[in-house]
Amino acid sequence: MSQDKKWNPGADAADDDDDDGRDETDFQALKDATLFAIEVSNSMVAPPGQDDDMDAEGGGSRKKKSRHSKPRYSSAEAALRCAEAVLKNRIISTPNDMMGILLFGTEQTKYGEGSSNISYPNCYLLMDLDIPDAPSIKELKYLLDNPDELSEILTPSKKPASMANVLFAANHLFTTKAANFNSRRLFIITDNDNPETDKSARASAQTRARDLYDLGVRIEPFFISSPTHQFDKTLFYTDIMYDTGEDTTENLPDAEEVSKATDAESRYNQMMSAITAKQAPRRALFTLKMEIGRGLTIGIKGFLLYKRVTPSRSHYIHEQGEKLQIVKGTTTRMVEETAQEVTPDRIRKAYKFGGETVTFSDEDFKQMRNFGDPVLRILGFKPQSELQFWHNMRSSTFIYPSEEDYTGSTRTFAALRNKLIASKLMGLAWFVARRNAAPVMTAIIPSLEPQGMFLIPLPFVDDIRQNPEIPHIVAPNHLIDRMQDVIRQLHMPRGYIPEKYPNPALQKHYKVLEAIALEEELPEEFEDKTEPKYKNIEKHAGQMIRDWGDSLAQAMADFRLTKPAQVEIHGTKRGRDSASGAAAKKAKKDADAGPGDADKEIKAAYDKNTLNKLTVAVLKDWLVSKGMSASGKKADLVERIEEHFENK
Amino acid sequence: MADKQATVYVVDLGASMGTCNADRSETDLEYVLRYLWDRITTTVSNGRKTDTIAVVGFRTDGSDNSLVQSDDNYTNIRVLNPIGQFLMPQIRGLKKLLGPSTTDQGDGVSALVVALDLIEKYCKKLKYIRNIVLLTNGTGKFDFDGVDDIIEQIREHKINLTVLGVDFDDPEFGFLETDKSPVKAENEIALRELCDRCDGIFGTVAEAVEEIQRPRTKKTRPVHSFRGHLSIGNESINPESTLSIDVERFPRTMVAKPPTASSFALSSELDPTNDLQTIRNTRTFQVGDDDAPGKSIDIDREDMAKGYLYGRTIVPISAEDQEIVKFNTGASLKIVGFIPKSGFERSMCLTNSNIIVASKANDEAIMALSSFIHALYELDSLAIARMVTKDDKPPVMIAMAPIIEPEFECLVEVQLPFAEDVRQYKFAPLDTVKTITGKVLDKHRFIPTEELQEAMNDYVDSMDLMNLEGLNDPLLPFGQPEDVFSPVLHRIQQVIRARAIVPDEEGLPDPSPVLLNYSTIPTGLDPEEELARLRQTADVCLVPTKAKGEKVGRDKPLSGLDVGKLLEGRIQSRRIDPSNPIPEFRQMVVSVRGEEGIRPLVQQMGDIIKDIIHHSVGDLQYNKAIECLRVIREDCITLEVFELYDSFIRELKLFVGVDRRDFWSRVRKDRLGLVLPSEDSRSNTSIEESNKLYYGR
Repeated sequence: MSQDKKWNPGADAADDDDDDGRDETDFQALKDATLFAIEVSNSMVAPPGQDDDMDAEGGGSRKKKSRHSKPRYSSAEAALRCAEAVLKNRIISTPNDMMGILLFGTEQTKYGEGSSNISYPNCYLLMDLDIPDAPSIKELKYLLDNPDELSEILTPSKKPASMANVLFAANHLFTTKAANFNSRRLFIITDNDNPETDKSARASAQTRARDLYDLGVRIEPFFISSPTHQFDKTLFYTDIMYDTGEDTTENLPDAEEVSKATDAESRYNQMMSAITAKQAPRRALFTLKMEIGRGLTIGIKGFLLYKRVTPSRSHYIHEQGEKLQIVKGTTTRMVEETAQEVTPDRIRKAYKFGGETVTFSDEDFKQMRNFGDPVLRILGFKPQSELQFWHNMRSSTFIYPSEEDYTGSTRTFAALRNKLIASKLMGLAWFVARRNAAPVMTAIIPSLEPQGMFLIPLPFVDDIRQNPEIPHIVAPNHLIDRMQDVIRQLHMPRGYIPEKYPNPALQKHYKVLEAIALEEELPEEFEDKTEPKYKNIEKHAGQMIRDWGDSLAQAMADFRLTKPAQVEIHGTKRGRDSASGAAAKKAKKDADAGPGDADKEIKAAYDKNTLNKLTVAVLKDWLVSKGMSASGKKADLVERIEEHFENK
Repeated sequence: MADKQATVYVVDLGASMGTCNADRSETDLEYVLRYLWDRITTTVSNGRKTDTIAVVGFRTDGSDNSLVQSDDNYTNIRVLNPIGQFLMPQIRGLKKLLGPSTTDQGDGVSALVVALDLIEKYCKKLKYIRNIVLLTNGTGKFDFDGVDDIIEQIREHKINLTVLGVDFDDPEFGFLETDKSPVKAENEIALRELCDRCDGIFGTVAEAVEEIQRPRTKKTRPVHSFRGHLSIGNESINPESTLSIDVERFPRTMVAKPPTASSFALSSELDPTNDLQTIRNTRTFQVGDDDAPGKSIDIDREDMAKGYLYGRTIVPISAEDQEIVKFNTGASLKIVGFIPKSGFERSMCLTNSNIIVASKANDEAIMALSSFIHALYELDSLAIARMVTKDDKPPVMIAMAPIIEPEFECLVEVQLPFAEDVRQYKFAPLDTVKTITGKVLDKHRFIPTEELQEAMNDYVDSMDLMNLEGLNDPLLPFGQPEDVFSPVLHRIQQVIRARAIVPDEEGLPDPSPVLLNYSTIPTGLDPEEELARLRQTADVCLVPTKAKGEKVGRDKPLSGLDVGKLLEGRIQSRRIDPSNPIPEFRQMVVSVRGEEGIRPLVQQMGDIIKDIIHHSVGDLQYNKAIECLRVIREDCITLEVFELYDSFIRELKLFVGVDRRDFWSRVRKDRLGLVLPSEDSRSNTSIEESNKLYYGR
């Protein structure tokens, strides 16, 4: 995981914020560039089924039928389809990352526009390494929809491409297109485990691979085995692949083998899952010391395994020019009274207090947030049952041992994890993720898969809100029993599986953008997998819900016998306050209705650029309702609202 | 919480308050003021206009109150600050007035009457929380004639009276003054009786001062964030068999954020008052235009449309089309199904937690939800639901668990990830090791030995927290969230308040120990023996920084092949190929010895970098040059020849000059300037020197 790291201490420094001069700098773009290198050879483009059909012959007709119902791809086409899927995925999840597709072993040669093709014969740059754009996606889509044109490109050359050339082509692409990227990866998809038999050709491939390693490019091969041939990576590939930085990597599932699959479809699925698993480069959130006891410190790294993905923000666009352009907004800071521009050296940070400002020096500013060195310090252990469901503030962090700074970290970490699993314990720890980060208390719980541990940030007493006042009425047992019947019917024994619930708002956003960008029809129907399965609910629990309804009517009737309706209870309980209480409630409701309408109004005005035409009162009300400052002149208010929507 | 409040502090300023007692180095008044300033600044920091304060001094030099004209019982009592919102000017004003007087004349009980009078006139019959806090050392005159009327008044207006005395006896707190004067003893008894009779609080200052060390948590009024129906089934299709309960949602946890600092501008003139000026942000909009001077032109607001990026492609979406991108929803809380609690992956939870309760005015809903809560509890299950908090907000998936407390029931909810929110990172298993050849090992230096595992088991068992009590509230279990204060929140509030009272002070006060008590292993757990055994069996070793550097360029591919041999020819040439500069530099730099060997390589790289910059169209090739620069800098540091880099970067600055000034700003942004002592201890470059190179002309 740390080749990137060793290559660029910048990333490390940003993580650790160790030295004074550097801490606030966003050191290096945390961007990824992935180049797919797909081999084109007779076996890679062979129509599926040649070898499959042989064993299908023996299989039942049912099996055969099911195969024919699904599309069947050659290995090369399957690889291209994987690349397409990854491409679309990355547009949503990491829109700033680059991707490219290089075919090698092709009869045709194409390498970038205008550049001489002589240097990289039999390499076909299907998609240049860049942030994907609509035309290139369209072109790829077109190829995949038109088998004839695809097979023309996928025509293997008589003589296989030189691996040294392929690797140098990749080197060139990464150096020119993705210079200074934090993560650069070369995905090689091939079924040829011994491409270079000639000694000098091998040597130059090995040299070129070494160049890539020194450049910080990581080679991630995906090997395709066939039922008749098991891919042997020791023949060639272990000479060009490197230990990726950490000692632990010999323990990593390095090269995914797409093997053992007997038919083209499952091979495609396997390849797909192997590639999706690697589509996002693993980025460590922090490198940290974990203090298990006094004088016993090990090294760990933290990763975010769950992070909310939101639709990309909107941009201002200039349409008047020759081509569309993104408008860049620049903020100038001016002194309110004199309208003079303020230079950074004259800016001071201050807190508002008692109508005035309380100022601190930069030094004091840092100091007041400093609670000691970054550390994960275990204070002791408690049963996991002590962790309440509501003890949650934000997403968890996955931690995994690192041998980089402390040897023996992995075994010690593993021993701790074993113990926590065996005794159902959790650790309680003081956690400072990086220099001057706010310290939090965190629970440490072991994770079965992936193997490691999770940090669950706990609330402080200041973060705990009080309960609202609600009359206490407990349901009678017969009603609870009926509800249990409902719940049993709607039981999902496998638990919550996120993969089954794509984010409908996000999906729609990108489906529409995709359709507009690729000039396709807008999708009419949109499938929302988060909606409950009403048919199933009705079928399995309809009757139970009706029974529960009857039971509830019964329970309410019984309840009314013992206690009058709540209005009266409140009447007496609240006494003289009741009148004002009701009034307050009404007023509240009106206020509630307000923001909803105001929201629409403001949004509409923003969209039409007519915020200026609204009154100050309306703007202020809205800002206050959003918890933003409502001070300043009208222009300020408008600006603040605009910024709000822009960043949305 | 947001009730209006009026608090009158009645402070004893008699001459005797200026003496030091009980081996304290501060005077009685200074001691009392610690408490007073803390309270006042806490009130100021909430910034509420309706949280008002008055300060009355007694045993003062001279008199200033509205009752003294008609009654000379009220001499030597001064209203130092009338009731009103306290702001910085009031703080400054009060600070000047709070000194010990030259007299011990003045009656404390009369001062209480003045305070009562202030409150009565200010609050009238309106709804206010009324407080009077009396601070004294109890050595002066307290005339308890007519105290019954005063008590009557305090009770009638529901005033909370607090009396805090310097070195007053408090057996509960554990304080007794042994050499108490008879006058003081008498006053103490009478004041205690006064407090008892009007349900007031009587205490010793020591306890109050200790109390202010403990951060106060701010109560927030619960505000609902969703109102709607919790439903099972679809009402529009199967109205008869759809369950629907009126519910509301309130936060259970929410980060209490520290106050945020704002930016201000220093006055341009050398202003002695050091007033800061408000900054206003103005936004302007530009697009690139190669023909325009400065390569960009300003755009009018009216000429801008809105749109999104799809990859690199710009997709304009007009205001009218916004609707088609939007995912239309209606506020709802729909049950998707139920899952067993036992297998739930806690680590999936993404957000703070919220509670769901039935509408409070709807008995039927309360009853219905109660059955839902209890059924979930009894089946040990969680409910999975799709929630939309407001119309047209995007839906979220949530898990709901039951909470059943005495007199209170609710569901508690946290958000779960969607498919897109899960990152598919791979991690090697920790219980086995797979070698390159595919062999799976269960004995390896990464896998704990039996001895290590046993030592770890014993150590963890010895670190059981379940028998410890809370460090802040002994009634709570150790480490329970209710017992832990947010360090940053209270620290920042603390320093702001401290700085507000003493603006000229240098440095910051130390963080109060309460904020740090959960930062270290609790005393009471001291498993020395187990820890020693664990340390020994784990045998964890720090990797020296040097060793990390030594690895540079010596790595071998997985097969162990000696690539170095293959590179020999290239290395011997000592010529770096401009089309492959970084790898070749790295390979050569480790093959040479000392500064003399490295210098020509740095020089070659320098020429290559200059060439890249020189031929770059606009800033297209800058990244490539920056990357080369970073590599040289890094290797020069590792190989302890940072001087070579320093001299090159100075040279480069001259090279880029004015024409390529934008390149230099990249160097500055990426911090690729002079090597600092923090990077190599031999460097003696100061931050100023480094900044001079970055920013200087």
